[in-house]
Amino acid sequence: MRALLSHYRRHPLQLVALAVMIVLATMLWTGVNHLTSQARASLGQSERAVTERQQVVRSDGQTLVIEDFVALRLAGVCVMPWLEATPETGSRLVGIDPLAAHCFGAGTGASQVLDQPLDGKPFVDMHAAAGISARESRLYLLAPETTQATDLPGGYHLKTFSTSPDTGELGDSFLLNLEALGVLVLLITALLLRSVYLLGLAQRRDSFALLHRFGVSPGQVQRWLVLEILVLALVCVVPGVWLGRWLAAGLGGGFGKALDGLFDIPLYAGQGQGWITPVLVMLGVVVIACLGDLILLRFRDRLSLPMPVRAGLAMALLVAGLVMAWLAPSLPWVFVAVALVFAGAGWLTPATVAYLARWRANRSSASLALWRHRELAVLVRRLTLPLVALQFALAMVLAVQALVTTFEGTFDRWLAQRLEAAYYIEVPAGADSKKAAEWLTNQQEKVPGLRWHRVIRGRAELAEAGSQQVDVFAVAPVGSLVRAWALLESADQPWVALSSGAG
Amino acid sequence: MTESLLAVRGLTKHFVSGNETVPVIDKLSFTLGQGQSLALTGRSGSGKSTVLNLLCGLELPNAGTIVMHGQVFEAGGAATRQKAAAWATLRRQHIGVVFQEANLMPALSLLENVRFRAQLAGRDAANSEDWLTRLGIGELARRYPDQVSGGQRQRAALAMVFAMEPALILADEPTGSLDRHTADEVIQALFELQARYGCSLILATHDAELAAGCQQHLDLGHLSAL
Ligand SMILES: Nc1ncnc2c1ncn2[C@@H]1O[C@H](COP(=O)(O)OP(=O)(O)OP(=O)(O)O)[C@@H](O)[C@H]1O
Ligand SMILES: [Mg+2]
Repeated sequence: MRALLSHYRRHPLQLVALAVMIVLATMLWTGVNHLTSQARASLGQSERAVTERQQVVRSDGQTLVIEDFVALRLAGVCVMPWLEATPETGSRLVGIDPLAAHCFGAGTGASQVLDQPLDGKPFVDMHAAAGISARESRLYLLAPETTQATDLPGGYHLKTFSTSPDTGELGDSFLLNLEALGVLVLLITALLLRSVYLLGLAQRRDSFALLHRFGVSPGQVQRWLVLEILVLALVCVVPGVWLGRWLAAGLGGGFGKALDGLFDIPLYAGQGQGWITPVLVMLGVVVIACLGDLILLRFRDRLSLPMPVRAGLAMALLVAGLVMAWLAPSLPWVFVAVALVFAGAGWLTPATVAYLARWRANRSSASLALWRHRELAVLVRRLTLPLVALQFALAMVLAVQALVTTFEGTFDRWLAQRLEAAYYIEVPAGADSKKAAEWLTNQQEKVPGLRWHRVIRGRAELAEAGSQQVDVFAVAPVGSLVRAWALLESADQPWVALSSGAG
Repeated sequence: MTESLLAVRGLTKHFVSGNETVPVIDKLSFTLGQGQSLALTGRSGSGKSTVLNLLCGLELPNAGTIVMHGQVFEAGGAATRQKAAAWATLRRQHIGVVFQEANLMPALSLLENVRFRAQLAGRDAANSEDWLTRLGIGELARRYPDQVSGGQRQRAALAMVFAMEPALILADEPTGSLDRHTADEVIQALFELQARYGCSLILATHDAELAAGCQQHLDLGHLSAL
């Protein structure tokens, strides 16, 4: 054992590199992982905080029908029907009954909108919604907050009602991005670790041969190697996890503040997380990265494939990845597809370059050129792993980029749904926002309590004249967030500004 | 002749390259007594190294029997695992192997190499430094293998082998890479210590002069010519 370790005494930098890599990777991964779980918890909390509407559902799980509405109204429970219909063409429509909206009392101005004749999308009158030929329609019965479970007749109970199914998707995509980042960190770590470790192993190969000659069985050497890497991993992973939590705490503070700002309540779920999972995961990664060959070696004879088969397999991976990326139904599949493409390309590239180099070598007459090409061929074949690592590093940059942009994009939508307005009106890109504004202004005249607010998104696109992407939000009351949120621009007197051309 | 340490009967080895078998050793038989020395000569490619590898279990024969240190190894049969383990134990404790080059652990100093080898064989490592001194490189004890000359490395390799107090030393052209003068010095040291400590020696060499120093002589080139 001492003789084995002595290698690192002569090459301390290798040991340091291994150790630093393990520590950093552990730190990064733990940090990301910690953030992911915290984000998950935070998002869960925020969902709960925002979903304050409640609906009445049948205890037997059946979908509601008009008879239920009648039965509930007869029982004296004030419920408002909410019919969601997806027409064959166009987007989801919501049919509501203006006459039943008084259940929600003289509460917010937004609910008073419902007392007015409805002509704008997506809210239409109940009858209109029921009349359209819908692919899918579903009736909900909304109950005011004051409704207690005891008010309900038998066979019904209360449940929370969320008007925005998209939010789950947003949270999911955000978490998925974080998780993909975590997996990428692990992959890159594994590949880098492997390169450094194999370098050290190659240098020690002579020693192993010598040990064999000295009568030390290869099995014993392998056991020592396993022990060595386990000890190293354990020694490095624990401080790595500690540092990672520290990192997560630093980043998490900002994350928590962002959520606080959104909901005006402290939401960041800063609860602790176990040590065992990260330590075990990192140990696993280190062991697999460093000793994967040892395990594979036992099956090598059975696994060794002829060159054309391997090339074909790599090609198949690549094609499968590309096809999958093309057809991917959801984000996780895209990630899998991208991973496949990288693996295939990483496998194929060195082999191809090596083949080309050998082909060149066989054609060149100058001996020096021959040597150069042969050398390149050998080098490139050895570089498979670092090349794949490089690709994954690139992927990581892309992933971070995607993370930021998709988050920005979805966050925008999310914010739109989560603004304090009960309803918002979105003007499609390219459409004239003035019509909506006029309609809103008319509503304002009829409803004294109504306040609405214009929110402009996508400042960059706005700067280019022509297609004005302006979204109009009816917001009541105006929250502090709307004025303070940096991503969005808001104006108190939008139409004045618009008419003066300030847009 | 004293009690025999090694008896070889009908030892045969052929290599398979591609789809043709290359016969290398054909029905080789000899015995070696305790404390005796044997020179293995023959032209390059005649199979000297192959014989040495067979005698320490680094290669397994296709036919024949080797009786070494009281243990019988028959060619063929199952139980390769047990055979390999038995050979490994023999190599660790009783058979010292010196090759032409690369006999030292590169990460250990000369002294540590000697100590390591002695400990591996289960011997007392206390007089490791004495072995280096006896071979004339006591002052280089703390240098690493890549910091000394080739001749000094071979002396250190001999020190390692003697420190493990072997029953048999297998030396494969131990002076092959040295100049005449140095080679003579190293080989003299080998013969002297081998005689003094009473271990057996098989020396593979293509050098007739070196071979003359051994009690027995086995010419593989001659054998394969027959
Ligand atoms: N692993 C192997 N596979 C195929 N043939 C081999 C193998 N090892 C040795 N040989 C062949 O066996 C023959 C004997 O080789 P060996 O190394 O024993 O020769 P040698 O007498 O030690 O030569 P030298 O004096 O050059 O060291 C050679 O012809 C060699 O080509
Ligand atoms: Mg040889």
